[in-house]
Amino acid sequence: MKRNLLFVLLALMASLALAQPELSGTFRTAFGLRTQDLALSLDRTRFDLGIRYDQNDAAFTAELRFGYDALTHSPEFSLGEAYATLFLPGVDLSAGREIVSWGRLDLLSPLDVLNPRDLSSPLDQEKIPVSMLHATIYPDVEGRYQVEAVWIPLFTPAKPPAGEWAQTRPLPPGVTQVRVQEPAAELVNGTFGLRATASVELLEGLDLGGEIVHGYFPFPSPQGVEPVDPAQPRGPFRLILGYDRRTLVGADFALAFSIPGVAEGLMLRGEAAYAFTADPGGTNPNEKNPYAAGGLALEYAWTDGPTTILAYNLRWEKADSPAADRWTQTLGLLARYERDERLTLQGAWLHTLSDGSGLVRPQVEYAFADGVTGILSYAFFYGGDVTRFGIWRNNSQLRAGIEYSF
Amino acid sequence: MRKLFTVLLLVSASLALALSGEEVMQKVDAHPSPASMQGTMVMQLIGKQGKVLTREIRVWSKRTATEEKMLIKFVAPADVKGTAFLTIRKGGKEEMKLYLPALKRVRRIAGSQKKGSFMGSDFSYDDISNLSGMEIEDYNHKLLRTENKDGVEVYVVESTPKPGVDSSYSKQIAWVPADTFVPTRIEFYKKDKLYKVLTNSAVKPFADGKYLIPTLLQMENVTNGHKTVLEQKDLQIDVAIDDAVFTERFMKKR
Repeated sequence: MKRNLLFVLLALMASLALAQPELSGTFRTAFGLRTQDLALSLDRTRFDLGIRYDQNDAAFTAELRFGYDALTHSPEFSLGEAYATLFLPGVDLSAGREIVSWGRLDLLSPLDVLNPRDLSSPLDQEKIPVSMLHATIYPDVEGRYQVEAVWIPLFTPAKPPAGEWAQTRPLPPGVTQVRVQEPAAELVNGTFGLRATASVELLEGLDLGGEIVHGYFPFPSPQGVEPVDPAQPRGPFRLILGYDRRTLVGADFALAFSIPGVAEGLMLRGEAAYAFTADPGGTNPNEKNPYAAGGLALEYAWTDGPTTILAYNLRWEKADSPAADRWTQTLGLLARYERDERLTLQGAWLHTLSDGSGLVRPQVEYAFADGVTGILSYAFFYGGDVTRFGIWRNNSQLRAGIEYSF
Repeated sequence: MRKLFTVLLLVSASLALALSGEEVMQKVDAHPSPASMQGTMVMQLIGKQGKVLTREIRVWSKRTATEEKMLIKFVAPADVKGTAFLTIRKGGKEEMKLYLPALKRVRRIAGSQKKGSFMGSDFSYDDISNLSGMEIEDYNHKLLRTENKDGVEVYVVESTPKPGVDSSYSKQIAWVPADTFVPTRIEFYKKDKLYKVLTNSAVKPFADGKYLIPTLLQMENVTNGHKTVLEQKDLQIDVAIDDAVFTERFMKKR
């Protein structure tokens, strides 16, 4: 057995050596200090090793992640993206664990839903790679039009906020346990996505897109209760959490234009989406209700100044009847200024108009040398106790880190 | 007195023979330009203290009678590797797109960003897309003077954008040697104040002398003391470049 394993490893190393893959990597370490109580909120080191092998009509890429969280004393080893791509005439076909970005907005994109996010630390919100088959079709030589199709056979949930970010919710009366039920690994339970884009010559350039994604909500919701012991139907009970289906239909655009005599070279991006669910009227409390979301973002680069993005997002969610539907309005402001080749200043401000809560996040990046960057940032949450960002107001924190890429 | 008269006569005669600013720039523009180019550029970003950051980029460009296309891909350092910048000029319009591997998304860039720094360098996006030459018909050109450098007459021409032309600079002054008509120095002004200086050197003949191309470019920002040196390496001229290179598909492909 050991001899076989050794043989396999040797064969793998030999084939890697013969293939001459390209290696790359990023080492990053970061510390966080909670300003409320000066407690250490982050002490994490991570090393991502990337391997890429290119041939004329094919490529293979994989990323291995090694990490250590000193606060929780937990090591991490995981596979990041790992997929193979075939470049065929007019079509790119890839298979494996991949991240695919759809939509056009940088902030609060309603259309970018294919990959779930790791929200264990909501300040990072990394996308989780998922196994998929992904085809991109280029019907014309100029590449003005594209059609993308994605099939994700297995459902992967988002990671909810953890540790100091987690919100404890009391269980309903009589409920003592919780069971989370993920969709079974069956063909019909896959996620399917189709997206088409086009670039047209209107004003100073217009990109259009439309998509449909038949998948799941990324977080579980109550599906009902069941007795913990079937022999005791009067309880105690177990709460069943499950993932509801949604079919998201949406469109997006990016329009370059000028207002003569006022502002030259503006960029307006927009997205709108509607999610259909099995409970359009909000009559079943154990089924998620439909929602709609849309956003606009106006981008402008000031002469010798920052590039700014002013964003507005509106979300409507059907409530279980007879409650009133929920509307959420969010304003966002992003600014990025490259002062010189080393120093970059950026800032983000998100403010929920509906509940008065928000997040302010200034950041400074400094390139010490080629591939070596230091990052200093501050995240300030404000708002009431039960508001969108106010729930984390005790988690405002200062973060410092350094990254080395090769 | 007779000597002074002779000198004045010679000066007025040379001025009469000298080309006008428009004619000089037409000669610059009349230089044959390669239909296509590809090569590697090493970009050194040099700070006020002399500390250097190095970036390596791969460039493809192609021009026809109706359009100009250029694609730039960053090869090094690792934190910007894979970043691609595409510019297509057609019918007086210019579209620019940027692919950032971290976002895995091709973004159309706002026209206002044309005047911004290109990846932290002293070149703006506009400067980079104008490396093959300015649109001379968008400017008024005036011969300021002629100079003599190492026995070669050098025309000093001031170019100011015509009304309605969206230019990054209020004026440009170019030094154009009469033997090559390849500008060796261009000063860029903002609100008539000197802002940046481009120095073109290592002018080399390509395609058996058909083209004269500067292979070492230095852009200095005189307001903050920064400079960027761009060295063109393994330059291939008039090679067949597939149109598929100038597409989003190729931007995303490493």
